[in-house]
Amino acid sequence: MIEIQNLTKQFPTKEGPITVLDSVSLTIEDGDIYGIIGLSGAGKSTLIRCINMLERPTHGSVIVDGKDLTQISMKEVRAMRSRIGMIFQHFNLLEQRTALGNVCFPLELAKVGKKERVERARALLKTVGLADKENAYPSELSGGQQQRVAIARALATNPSYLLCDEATSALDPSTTVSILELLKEINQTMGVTVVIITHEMKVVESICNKVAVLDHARIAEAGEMAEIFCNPTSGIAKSLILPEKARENPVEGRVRLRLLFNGEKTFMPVVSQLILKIKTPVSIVFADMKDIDGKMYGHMVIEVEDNEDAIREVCAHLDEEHVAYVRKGA
Amino acid sequence: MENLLLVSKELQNLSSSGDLWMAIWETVYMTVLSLALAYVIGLPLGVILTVTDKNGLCKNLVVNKTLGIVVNILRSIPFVILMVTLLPVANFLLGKSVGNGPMIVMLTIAAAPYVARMVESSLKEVNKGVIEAARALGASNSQIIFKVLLPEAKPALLVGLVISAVTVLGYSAMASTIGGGGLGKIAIINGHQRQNKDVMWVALALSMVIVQVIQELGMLIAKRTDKRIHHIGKKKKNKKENTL
Repeated sequence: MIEIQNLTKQFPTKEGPITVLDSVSLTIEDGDIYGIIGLSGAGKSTLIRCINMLERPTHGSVIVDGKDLTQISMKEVRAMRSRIGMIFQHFNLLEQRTALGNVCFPLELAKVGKKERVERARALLKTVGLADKENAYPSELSGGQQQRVAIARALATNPSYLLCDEATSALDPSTTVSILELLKEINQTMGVTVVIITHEMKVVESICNKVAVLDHARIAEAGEMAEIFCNPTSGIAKSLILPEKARENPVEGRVRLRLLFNGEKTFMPVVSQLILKIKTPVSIVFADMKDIDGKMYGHMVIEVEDNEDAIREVCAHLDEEHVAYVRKGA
Repeated sequence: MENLLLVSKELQNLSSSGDLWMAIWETVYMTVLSLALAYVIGLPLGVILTVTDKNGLCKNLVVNKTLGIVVNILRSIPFVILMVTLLPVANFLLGKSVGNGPMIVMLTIAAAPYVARMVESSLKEVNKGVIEAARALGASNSQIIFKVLLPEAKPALLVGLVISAVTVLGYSAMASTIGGGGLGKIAIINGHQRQNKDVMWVALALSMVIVQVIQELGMLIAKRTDKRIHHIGKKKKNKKENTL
């Protein structure tokens, strides 16, 4: 378990200290895939770097497995770091070492014997799907492959935690999906707790079970992913979940509804059925839907005429179909 | 024509007496030995300059600035003047101030600060993210220096070595003016001072050949060992894959 308590981080500047994190408290339970989302400059990178003491907090504590990292010696911190793996936006592989050499690196640091570390590194490269690339140098690998090597390297010392600092931000969408799937698999099969820093809602949406939204050095809201996705209360969470266009108030005489699909429904044409049944025109203002194993995930904003009877009928239909919705406008 | 005969005769003399070969050998070993000693001093200095810098691993501005000033002072003195001022030092260390031994001492002292700056600039090229990743993986400062900084900077360090070698070679020629041997001596004493301009040119040409060899060979090795660059062998393989 990682407990961040009242963490404050200030950086000195010529105009006096600036506060990058202001009394941030978070609890990351074992087995979580915890997303920390925020716009650039919100302090999320500093927050994740405080977890493994790459950045020393100004105040507050970071307790990992019952040990307060702000109170222990540098030597003990280094020992703890072997229990907290980390991957980065730009992969940060050793460029003069092969993939295998990179995965061996943390084991060398831990003074593991050569035979054993090569064996373990090979097994890890197999786990991340790069068994045939052990002799390739980073310059010969694609971005996605480099991040896989970095993941194998971060897992080499058998950590309980994996910190991901914008790990998919430099990757194209399809590679992003495959890396996220790998992270999920690692979480499920190896029991590694994953902490993900990102500015992209879709990253959090697709794999996190918990999320914290960071805004201007503070936590705007935090909790279960599904809960926050359906009912964001802070302005920043709302803006991250819905693009600006979809958040605009409808023109007069129209009403907007946000429909939420959390995977409980099997894929079926809810909107078409709605139109056929109610016989009222419905326009789709925004939709971000995914079909994962036949289940529907995501959300959609629809607009209907501001007519109480029609709206009542629409709501009744949605209730019947067990589709959650939020009404806005009017 | 007469002139040319004279030159060739002089060169024949130099060659048959073994003086020319001796001079080449002296130039090479003075350069190599001074360079090696300069790296023994300059490499750790370069590492210290890098890690004590304000963005370094163990920031220590007092050490950094003091060392920086010493290095700058040594580098700002023209080598000809440095040689003369260092004669007593060489005398103290080796009991004599003429010959190749004292020259090596002077070349080493002149080259070490140069090497230190070369090493410093090479190490500073290492990607900060890679250093951070190593820290996140639990590396100590000494592990970062020996397992990350130096190996990752290897290609740049090799380029620095080539540049330093050529510089030391140039210095070694100057050292001939106060009693060193080598091609510089042939050029200055047998050539310039005995009015055999052509002998001087020949000695110069030989120096140039040595410089070219060091430069080309060194850069080739530096490129070959850099894993960030794809090599010809691999390119061929890629082509094959493309045509398939």
